[in-house]
Amino acid sequence: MRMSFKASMPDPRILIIQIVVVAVLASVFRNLLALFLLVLIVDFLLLLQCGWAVFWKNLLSYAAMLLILFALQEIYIPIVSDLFPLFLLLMARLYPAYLAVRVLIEKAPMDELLFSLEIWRFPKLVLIPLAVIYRYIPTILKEIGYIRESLKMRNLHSSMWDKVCHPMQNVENFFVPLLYRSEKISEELSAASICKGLSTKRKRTCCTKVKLGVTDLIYLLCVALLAAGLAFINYHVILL
Amino acid sequence: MNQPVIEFSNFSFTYHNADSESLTGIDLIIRKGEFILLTGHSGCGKTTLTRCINGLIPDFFEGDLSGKCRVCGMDIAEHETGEFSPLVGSVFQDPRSQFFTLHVKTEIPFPSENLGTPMDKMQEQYEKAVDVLQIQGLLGKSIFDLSSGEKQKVAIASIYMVGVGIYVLDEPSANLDSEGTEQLRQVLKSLKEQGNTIIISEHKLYYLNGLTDRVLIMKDGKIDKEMEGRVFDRQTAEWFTRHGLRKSDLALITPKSYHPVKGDVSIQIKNLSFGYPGKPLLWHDVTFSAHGGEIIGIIGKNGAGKSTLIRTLMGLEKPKTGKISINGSYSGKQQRRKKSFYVMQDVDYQLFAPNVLEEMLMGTKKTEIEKEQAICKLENLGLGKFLKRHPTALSGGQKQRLSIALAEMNRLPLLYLDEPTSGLDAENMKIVQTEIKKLAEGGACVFVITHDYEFAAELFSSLLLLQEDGTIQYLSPDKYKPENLAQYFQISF
Repeated sequence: MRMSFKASMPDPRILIIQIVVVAVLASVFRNLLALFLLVLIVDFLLLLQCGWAVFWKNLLSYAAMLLILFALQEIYIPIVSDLFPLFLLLMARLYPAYLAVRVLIEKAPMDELLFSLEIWRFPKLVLIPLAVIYRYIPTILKEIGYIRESLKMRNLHSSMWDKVCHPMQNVENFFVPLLYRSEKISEELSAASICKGLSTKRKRTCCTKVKLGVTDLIYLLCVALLAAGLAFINYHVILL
Repeated sequence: MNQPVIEFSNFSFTYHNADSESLTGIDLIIRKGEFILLTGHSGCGKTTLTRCINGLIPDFFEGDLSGKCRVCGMDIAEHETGEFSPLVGSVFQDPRSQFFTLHVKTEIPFPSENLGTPMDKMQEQYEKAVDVLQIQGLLGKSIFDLSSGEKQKVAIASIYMVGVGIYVLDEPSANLDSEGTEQLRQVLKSLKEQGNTIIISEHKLYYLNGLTDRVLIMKDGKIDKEMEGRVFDRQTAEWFTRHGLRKSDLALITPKSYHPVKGDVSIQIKNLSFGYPGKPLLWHDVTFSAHGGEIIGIIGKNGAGKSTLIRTLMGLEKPKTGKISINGSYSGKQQRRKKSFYVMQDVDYQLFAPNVLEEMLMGTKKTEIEKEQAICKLENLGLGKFLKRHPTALSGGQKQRLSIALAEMNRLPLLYLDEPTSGLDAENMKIVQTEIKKLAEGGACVFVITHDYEFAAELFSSLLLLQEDGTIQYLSPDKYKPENLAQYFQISF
């Protein structure tokens, strides 16, 4: 059987540039419409990976965020209108970058990402912890689920009132097993990856051919054009 | 005679911060192409020995060593773990924590990429590994979607691709069902035929029958007995029991059924079905009723929905259709949870207190009487010495015993155990078996999920059989025929 060894498209490095572009745009845009369109575009890229459910969830939660922000600016409610928009504005600016990071995580296989970052001379000291975090997030979410369940089964799962009255007890019940499991998993994972040669001083290679190609350049050009378009909307189209 | 690849001479090792030696005076020569089985009680030093061979000791697990250990001529005291990776491949017990990437396609070449194998050569080896291990069907999958058996195959494929000559496996079958175990046997067989050296540390022995060249039985950090594989496989059932080992031939086991004393509680299930949102039903139309005193085995393949079944019964999942009643009246999720005790496969998730005694008293009023009861129960289970020990610092077998003590302390009428013996040695398995029977005699209705034939053989009074078509067959105490148990487990011998 012949197997295909095609590298994923576009190159992970292009996706990293994309994150930087999105983050910069999100932090300079003042126009809510431009921000919304930016999220729409990044969310569309995510749609290709994760499907419609994720697309709608992201888009609707962002739209809600912007609407509340807009409403609070129009209608003054004491205290809430002073504090809440600050927080919302921060979230509204971080959200597009978060989506762009998710595109990278969903799209780029770990080995190609490591390899291409090594071409950019990222030190292994930074790369390996990053790779571990990438691997660890889905695992820890599962662990948290198991602990919740076992608290429930032993009737230690407390009500909101209990949480307020005995905060330390609750934190302890939850974090002791979580920390213990984390320590165990990280030890096992490190042992396994060291046995698989992750720490060696040799230069990593990649099973697929990772190289910046014409497609990558076209993709980058599209990113640039869209960014320019959004910048235009931001400065020249006045909302309402 | 083949050349030696692994040599231990008068080798001893003590882990950093440990009170006693984990390995003492090991003298051992392993030759190229040998298939070695390491077995013995939990804590006998098997795992430590495998960690020396793959170079994790003393580089990753630090400690004091004396004597010599050479792997392919390299002294482990003088080389880093990574220097052994082109020569020695390792497979670990828990398939969840040995993968580094999240997809099969990228996991298989991962070690080769780390070692800097050129791309062309890598692609060639990749194809060969996929071909030899027959894993074409798995390439497109995410690591999280694999069964435990498939995970172990992928783990082996990735080191096979490196082209190592020595395979070190630490309890690779602990989480496998009988089908997965059989697949593992076939893979090991073909690795052996290709002339690889294989060192495997195990409690479950039956699937290695006929493959092993030499068996080392370890005790207290020493090699207690060494015998030829052929001789080992011919030993009698009594011999295995006397040495505290599991049987190497399942035909030596005669399954018996447990005769229940009828207790007060009863649970009635009617037309129960379950499916995750947007997916087809996992199982459907389950109807049965069970009583206190019964020990109900739950058997089915990995992924058939056994854990989901008990989670639905105890009130953690919501069924799609159907009704669950306790003692004849309808019982909601909350009510069921209050009457159920759950022993999870991974006990670590359910231990919360700072010490063993506190753990027992959690949720009680902590009166003197309750304290005495708790101490008495712990002593019965051989945990009397550890009252002040942190629960997570106990060994696997001790933790499993503690969770059973917790079940006894809580005195709940419905008890659910999910794979209580994965990774346990023969002795601890026997203790767990006896304690479950005691709980049933006390009137509890006990549900046990297991892949462990040896454990199941004398335990069940009735059976829930998860079929491939999504139906569940209930065999009540008068219909359950223990002589058919091997057939239910789909084991042939």
